[in-house]
Amino acid sequence: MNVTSRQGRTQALFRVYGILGYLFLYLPVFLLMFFSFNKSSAGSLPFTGFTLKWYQDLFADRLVIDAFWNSLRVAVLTSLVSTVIGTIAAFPMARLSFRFKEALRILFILPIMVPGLLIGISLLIFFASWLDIRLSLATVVIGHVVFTTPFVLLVVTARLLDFNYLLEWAAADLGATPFNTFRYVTFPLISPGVLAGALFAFTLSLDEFIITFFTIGPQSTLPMYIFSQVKFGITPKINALATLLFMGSILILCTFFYTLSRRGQART
Amino acid sequence: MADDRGSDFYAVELVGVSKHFGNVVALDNVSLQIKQGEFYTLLGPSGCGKTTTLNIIGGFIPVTSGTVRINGRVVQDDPPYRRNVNTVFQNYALFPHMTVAQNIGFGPRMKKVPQDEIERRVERMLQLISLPGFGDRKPAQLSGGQQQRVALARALINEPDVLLLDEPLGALDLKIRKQLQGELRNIQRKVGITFVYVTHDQEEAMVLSDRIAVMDRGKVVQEGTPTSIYHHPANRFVANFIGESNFFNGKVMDVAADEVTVEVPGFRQPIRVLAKRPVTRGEMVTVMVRPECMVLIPDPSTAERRDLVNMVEGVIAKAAFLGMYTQIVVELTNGTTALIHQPGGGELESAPQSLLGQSVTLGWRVQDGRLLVD
Ligand SMILES: Nc1ncnc2c1ncn2[C@@H]1O[C@H](COP(=O)(O)OP(=O)(O)OP(=O)(O)O)[C@@H](O)[C@H]1O
Ligand SMILES: [Mg+2]
Repeated sequence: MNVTSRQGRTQALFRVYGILGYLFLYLPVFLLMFFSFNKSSAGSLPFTGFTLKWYQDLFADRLVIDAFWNSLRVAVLTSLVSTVIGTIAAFPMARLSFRFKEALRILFILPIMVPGLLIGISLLIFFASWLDIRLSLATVVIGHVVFTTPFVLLVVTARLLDFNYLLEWAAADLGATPFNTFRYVTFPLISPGVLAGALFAFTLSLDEFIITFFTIGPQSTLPMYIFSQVKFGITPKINALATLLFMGSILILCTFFYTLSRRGQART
Repeated sequence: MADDRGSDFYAVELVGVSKHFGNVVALDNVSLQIKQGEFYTLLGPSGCGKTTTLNIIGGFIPVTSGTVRINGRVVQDDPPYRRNVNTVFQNYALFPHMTVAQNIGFGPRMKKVPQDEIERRVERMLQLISLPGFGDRKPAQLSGGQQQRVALARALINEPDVLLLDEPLGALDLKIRKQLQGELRNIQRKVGITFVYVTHDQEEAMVLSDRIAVMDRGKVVQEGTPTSIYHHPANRFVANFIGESNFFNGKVMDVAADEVTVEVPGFRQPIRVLAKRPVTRGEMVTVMVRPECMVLIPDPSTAERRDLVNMVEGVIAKAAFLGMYTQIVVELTNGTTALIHQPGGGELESAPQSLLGQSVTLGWRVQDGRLLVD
């Protein structure tokens, strides 16, 4: 058999395989986005005409706007807190050697693997029965911090392991106090890792549902709102909301990679 | 410049400094006295503790015991940023996110020097290291040699009392290395700052240094000028590490006022050497002779040179003309070999290869041998 034709066929097969894979991943999302512009309220075919009505409905809905601001507040706070905790924790993990370090590291990272359900229920019991505090957005933030911090820790630790400690010695050698060393040398160099961790935490928090479900008070967040609406059947309004969320996430990711690549260029 | 730096004191003084890493003894009771304005080199094989010594002077690692003084002040508890010492690190450790000018200006900036003053000083430094106009580049846009010079400028701009340099030329190729050696020496003379220099390259140490400390396994085995170390090595290790040498092991036969006679098994006559060390009869010792001190004697019976009292016989095993000298390896009667450097082509008109297999006698003067006890 002709070798090149066989190669060509293998290549074609791979291409089809790849296309199918991406379709599987993204077709539902694109359909969802597509139907957010459909006039029919059924949220399915046939396409009866283009409209922005569902978006208008969305922005007119007090509940949605409230949920949006709540989500944003929770995500920003979660991101800030977990970035600070995760970054600080990354230093001993990357720099020091001490007893039980591996065990501690695994314990720290475990929340990534533990089912959200478990974290949610245990936090609920902890807050309600043990501490006897009222559930609110604050308790949601605490719950989110539990499972986003490990991601920050992982990203920043990786960055720190890459970091040449002699640069800190050089800074100290040139008269920089430990604070100035961190400010002018360490932080600028690990900041892409810290930023990645922060964005990670932000997007994870933004669409987190299970832990939120157990730890939230009377307020609502966007995933909570969507869940409450879905119970009554999907309307294209939900499609519109999901579309905006998706676009928002993509935008954050793009900004991140853009700044990262610009930094990279500036360095070489 | 050196005299306004309190020249009553040593620039750097280590007294009985030891450093342990767990049960690794990196430094074992090291004492050093480095004078003001001196170009002082720590020389030794890999792992002997050179970097550890620099790190202790710079304040990056604590001592296990002992005292460190800089300009007479006890500093071993001071952090690096409170010592008036600067370092050129082994792989430069330039800040990759800053420009060359920002790198060089970092020290003054930390000391809150006004911005325009910093700019002026950075400009002067760029002139000094012959890289004017390179201020806006990033370190990654420079060659190794250029990065090296920036690292030097970044340290020198602070006008430290002492500059520490850890194998600053180690990563460069031979040609640039030779060129930068010259530049380093010139800059050191120009600024008059005490340099403490680390290298494992004995030639580099000889070329650059006012004084050298030879280190071995965490100890300073000898301290002195390049010539004194070369001509009077303290022991076999130093003799071996610096330059090339021939060793003859034997037993002390006779100890006179100024001369020792050593019997070497397999040699027809004993070796005579100056009594620079106290030895006793019957002690096992080593006599060291540099290859350039050995002379080929074509015909011992004529004895043109009466001063060549030490003579050994052998057969030429290898010979190579190396330009400045001809290198000859002679297999001796006791089974060891001797290395000889005969200046130029000299008396050896014929090609070195024609010497192979020839029986010869080697001679050297009493004062050319060195008596070593370990
Ligand atoms: N942080 C450390 N932990 C454990 N051992 C160390 C540490 N730093 C150095 N050592 C050991 O101390 C000894 C001296 O090391 P040092 O780095 O001073 O050697 P060096 O003379 O600079 O060698 P080289 O020429 O290879 O740079 C070595 O045996 C080394 O393994
Ligand atoms: Mg070293």
